[in-house]
Amino acid sequence: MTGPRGLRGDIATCDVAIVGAGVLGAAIAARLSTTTASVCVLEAENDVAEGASKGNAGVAVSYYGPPGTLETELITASTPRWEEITTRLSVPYRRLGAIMVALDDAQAAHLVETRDEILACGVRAELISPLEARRQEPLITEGCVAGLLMPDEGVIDPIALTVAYANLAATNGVQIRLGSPVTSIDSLEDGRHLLATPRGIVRCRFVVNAAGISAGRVSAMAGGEELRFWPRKGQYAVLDREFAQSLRRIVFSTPSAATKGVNVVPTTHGSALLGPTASDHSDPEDKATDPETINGLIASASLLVPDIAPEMVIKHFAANRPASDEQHRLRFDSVVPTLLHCTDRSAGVSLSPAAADYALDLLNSAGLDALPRKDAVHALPPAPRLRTHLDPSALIAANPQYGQIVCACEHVSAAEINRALEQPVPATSIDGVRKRTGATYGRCQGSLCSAGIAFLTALHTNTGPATVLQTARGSVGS
Amino acid sequence: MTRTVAVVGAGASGLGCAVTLAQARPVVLVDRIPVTGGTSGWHHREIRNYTDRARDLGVEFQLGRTAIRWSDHELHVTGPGERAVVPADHLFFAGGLRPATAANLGLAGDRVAGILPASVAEHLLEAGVRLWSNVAVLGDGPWARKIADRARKLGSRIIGIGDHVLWADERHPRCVGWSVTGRDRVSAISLRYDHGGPGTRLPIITVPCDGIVLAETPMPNRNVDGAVLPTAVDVTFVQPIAPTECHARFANGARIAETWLRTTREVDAV
Amino acid sequence: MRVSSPIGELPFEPRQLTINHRGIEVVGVMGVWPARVQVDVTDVPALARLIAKPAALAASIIAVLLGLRRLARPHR
Repeated sequence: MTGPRGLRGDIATCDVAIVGAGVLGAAIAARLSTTTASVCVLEAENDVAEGASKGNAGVAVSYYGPPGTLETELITASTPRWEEITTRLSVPYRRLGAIMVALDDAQAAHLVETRDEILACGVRAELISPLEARRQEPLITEGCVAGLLMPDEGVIDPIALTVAYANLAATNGVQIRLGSPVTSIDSLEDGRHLLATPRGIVRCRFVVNAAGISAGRVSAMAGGEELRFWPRKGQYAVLDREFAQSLRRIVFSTPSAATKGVNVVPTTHGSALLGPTASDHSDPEDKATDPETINGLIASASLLVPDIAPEMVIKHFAANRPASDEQHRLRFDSVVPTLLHCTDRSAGVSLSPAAADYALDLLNSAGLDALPRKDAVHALPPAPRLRTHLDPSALIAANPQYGQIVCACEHVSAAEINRALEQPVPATSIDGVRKRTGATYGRCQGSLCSAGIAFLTALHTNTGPATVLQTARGSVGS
Repeated sequence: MTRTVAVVGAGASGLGCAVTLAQARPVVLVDRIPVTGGTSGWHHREIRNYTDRARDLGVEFQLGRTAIRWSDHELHVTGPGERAVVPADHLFFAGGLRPATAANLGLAGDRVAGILPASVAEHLLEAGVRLWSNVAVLGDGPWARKIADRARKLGSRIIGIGDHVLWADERHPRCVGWSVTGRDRVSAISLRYDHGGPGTRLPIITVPCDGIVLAETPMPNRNVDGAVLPTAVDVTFVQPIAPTECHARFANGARIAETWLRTTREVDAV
Repeated sequence: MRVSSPIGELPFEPRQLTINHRGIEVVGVMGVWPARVQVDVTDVPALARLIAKPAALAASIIAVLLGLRRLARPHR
């Protein structure tokens, strides 16, 4: 069957095609998957969560910007829901709370303004003395002159969240097509769209543009508005768990006019992230770190937490946020009425729950007519992790593979590795296993366990030692 | 308070500790691999000898079990289908060495496919499959020569980065920094020099390669929570970079254990 | 063939059997990953001990293995 431009290939038909399987695309897919709408997700890379959703600080913020914007409204609506969502989807999350630290009087004055703005958003915040700040988080510098407590900030595993959204969508019948970059979008006479990818054509009534840094290109292909996007690189350093596990709160630096500043963020793996930096550039493929920036990052972070030392860094990485002329969009295109843009520069994780609901409302108001499905699944099977489980003996008794440690540094068991390789949206590379389990993420960076994980991945993907995928884009051997 | 001593790591170093300690104390010997021997190999004649001696001395073997935490004089150990707690007066950690990571080496740049720690490259090469055309082996750690020889037999060309890389086909000594270039997989490693690269005044030269093996500076492997930092309580780390021969490591482990026994006997006597 | 292990059940597909100076070598694949099973002559006694009954069957299997061992050392 051929479509316009003589395109050949299978044509799949659905109500909604979502372009991009980052946290926003996956969240919308999960939400729609519990309704009668038929959904297809088209992701260019070979795994979900390969863009900014993979490389961020992992903070589910309660506050990001001034009141009165849609972004703020969505963040505020999402904030109270994290315990329920992460329990239902078995995603690691801790509502740790954050302390923004002022190191001089100018910063202290800014804290007061920030406190006022947070309260105006309807979110909790409280100015605290340096003594109280250091009582709540003993590792904060003695040079702290004032603190701002934000009790509703939390830390989450952003990749596990994205994968969980995708797993739920897939369980409910959503087709998630990986390795499927959209190469052209055509319109049919009845107003439907035809999206071409190397793996086939998708015909749909609505297109959700959740393509992150590529959202401008998707809009252009669909004949929509001109959206400007450029990469804003953020570099990060990861600190060893042996030190980082002592951190009790997220520690924010006080932002200045130029930058939101460098933060010290405990992760759900027990490690800590320093970052991000922010530098706008022009090559979305450039995710390189450089020693000068990383050293500067460590130096800035140790102004907040003096115990931080370069020897604690076990990894550094960079990711590009999709900076845009509009910081946040969740609206229909002004030219193409069935093209829904869903883009956000920095707070995608934090607003994903409410954004998914709002996207469904918008689509229904435009004629999607999606109704709840009684047979839909709303929760995922529990995904316990040996390292954090409260009753490891019971876990191991139920499934002996939980006792077989594969990643010795992060205490990841064979049961977790196999689960990663067998779930609805499975890992197909060593990095995919890392994203889902944390294996190879520890201080030895895979020196001890990568060979075993390569072997298990190869068995599940029918590849060999040279052809098994190391990352979503490249195999171990050349 | 128990008199038991726990030893993690049943390679030559750990066996040396265990055999010596067992003459004065109850000893529990743990290793995440189901056989003794560590990097020497389970079939090594000396390893079999040391293992028999340990068994004869009544050492309790817990092989195929991974030690995960040391706290309050308890060693938490996990194996397939079981989890145990071993109360111990002291922990000897002989968990071996690992290659320096990219972060340890300050290796910045792109994070792409094709960069492997030497320990992993060594295992993968055992499958007898050619992994690279031109591989840059960074450093001259204990794994480097074996990797170079094996990879060359499988058809790869070896680029050695470091000051003592005699096993390489192409050598790049005396660089002070390095970074990775590549898009989907590594395509080159850039080397930084203080006073220009060899034969050039350029401070940076770019060496094309399709794989990078991190084989520099063996560092102690630490995977037991509570026994990671040098300040860990009641832990003796036995992870020497040298010596490397099996019997020398055994002797070194024995000597360290003997010293510890002597100091505790003196403390007890006071 | 299937090998059960603490990390799961692993497939082993034999492709080639050779007798060398050490014993029997079976080369195969686990999935697409090259793998090898080596049965050495020193493993023979241990294997023999596992064969309980009937004694006649045990004796004939041992004889075959020893015969192969002799075959593997043509210089004797």
